[in-house]
Amino acid sequence: MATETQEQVEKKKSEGLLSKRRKSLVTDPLNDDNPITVQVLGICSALAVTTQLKPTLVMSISVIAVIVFSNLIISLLRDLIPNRIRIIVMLGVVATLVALVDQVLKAYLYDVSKMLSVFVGLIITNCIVMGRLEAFALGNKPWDSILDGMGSGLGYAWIILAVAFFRELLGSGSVFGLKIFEEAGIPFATNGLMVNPIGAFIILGLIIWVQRSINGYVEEN
Amino acid sequence: MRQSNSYIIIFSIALTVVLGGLLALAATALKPAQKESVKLDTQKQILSAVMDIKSLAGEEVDSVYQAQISSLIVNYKGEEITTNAAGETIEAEKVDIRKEFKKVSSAKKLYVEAAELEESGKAEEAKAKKAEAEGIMQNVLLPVFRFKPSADATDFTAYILPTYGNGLWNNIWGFLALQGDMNTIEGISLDHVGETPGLGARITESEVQSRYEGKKIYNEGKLVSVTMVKGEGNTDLGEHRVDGMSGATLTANGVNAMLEVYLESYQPYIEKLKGAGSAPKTGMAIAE
Repeated sequence: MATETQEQVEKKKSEGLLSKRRKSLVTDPLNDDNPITVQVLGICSALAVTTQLKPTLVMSISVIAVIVFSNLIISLLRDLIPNRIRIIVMLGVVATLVALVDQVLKAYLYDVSKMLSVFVGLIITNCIVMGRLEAFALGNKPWDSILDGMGSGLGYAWIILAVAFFRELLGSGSVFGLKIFEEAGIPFATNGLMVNPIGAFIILGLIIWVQRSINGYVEEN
Repeated sequence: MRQSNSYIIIFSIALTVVLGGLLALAATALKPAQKESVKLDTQKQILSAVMDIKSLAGEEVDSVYQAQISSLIVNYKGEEITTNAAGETIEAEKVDIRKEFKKVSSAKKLYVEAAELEESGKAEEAKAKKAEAEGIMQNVLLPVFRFKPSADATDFTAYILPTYGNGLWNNIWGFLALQGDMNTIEGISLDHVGETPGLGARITESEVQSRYEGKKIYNEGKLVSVTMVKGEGNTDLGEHRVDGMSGATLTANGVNAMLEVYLESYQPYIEKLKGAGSAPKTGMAIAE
């Protein structure tokens, strides 16, 4: 491979399917190398789809599926893809997978697909997906790439689910559509700010703050 | 070799064919399921104008719909029609409301232009415009979904009229259910493509939709429609106005315009039913 941008992972002979190194492929993006809070990628959809938990969950699963499969496909093709057109090849693969996800949602989860509307299509432009393909899948074996995709996908998923939990709870007074405050008989004034994208910024900022103060992560100059 | 132009070209062609084929295959395979979803979604919207469908599972919606809804299509003169302009048999469920809306709004525009011409004294041109508008309206299909409270009931208790219009960002649509007196609103279901979540998108909430229940579209024999007012928490709204949504006045305006245009289009049909006396005219009042 002639690309300069890849993080080459050194090879070890007869490595276990879930060796320590491989585990870290999955666990690193969950916290220390989180795509949203540390790499600050995929913010757009994190703001847009997180007003309620149900569409957010479907969005998370869709993104994980797209990252994992595109990582796998690109990793399998990595010795065949001409370097000069690699970006458009990756884009083609990602776009096809996203179109497939969109079609499946339209067929079997029509109401959620209506809620997510354009944001399913926008997974194509989610920087996390392209980022993992370019930085990892192009230079690593299929199984490692699957794990890497899984890690990044889950890292994205838990953050947007956390944001959606607080936004739905505070903005609509419900969790997964269940009006918990009403059920419990507690009077609760919903906060209109939380259903706006501004609410997502605030929640996301708080999550980043808490996470960085725990991890001691600082931006390098 | 992998850097040669011919390799790149062959690789791109192969990739395009494989990916394109895959997509075509998926689209064909999923088409029936998608059509089913859209159909079910429409049935849900129609039924939710007259009843609470939250407790119904997917298949139940279809069976309730089949048993209790009977549909027909009328034209802008209020006459029932069974074939379209090309002479093909048509079904109310298959009418593309969005397409019909485009016809209605272009006709509406022509009417406005005609009125302006008339004012400026150009009677001939105004007449031509009006004729053109009439020509468009002639082909507009207006579906009506009649609702029975149970499968065995003989009388229809509600008439559900589809509506379509423009919200703030994108299209909105809804199903307005009128009671048998063709005056009182039984219920409404509203949906949208892209109104702002938490603001305009609240038109899909049952709490907002329930504000329409019991309102009247006629005032002393004159069609006045129902208007959603600006601001929230208004009191003393009377029979023809509903409380608005704070921060979503432009979406509310869209809903108002949509109801007005469609009630106007359905007016001949509505008045025909009113005139026929088939509907009870008293005893339907609902406490405000």
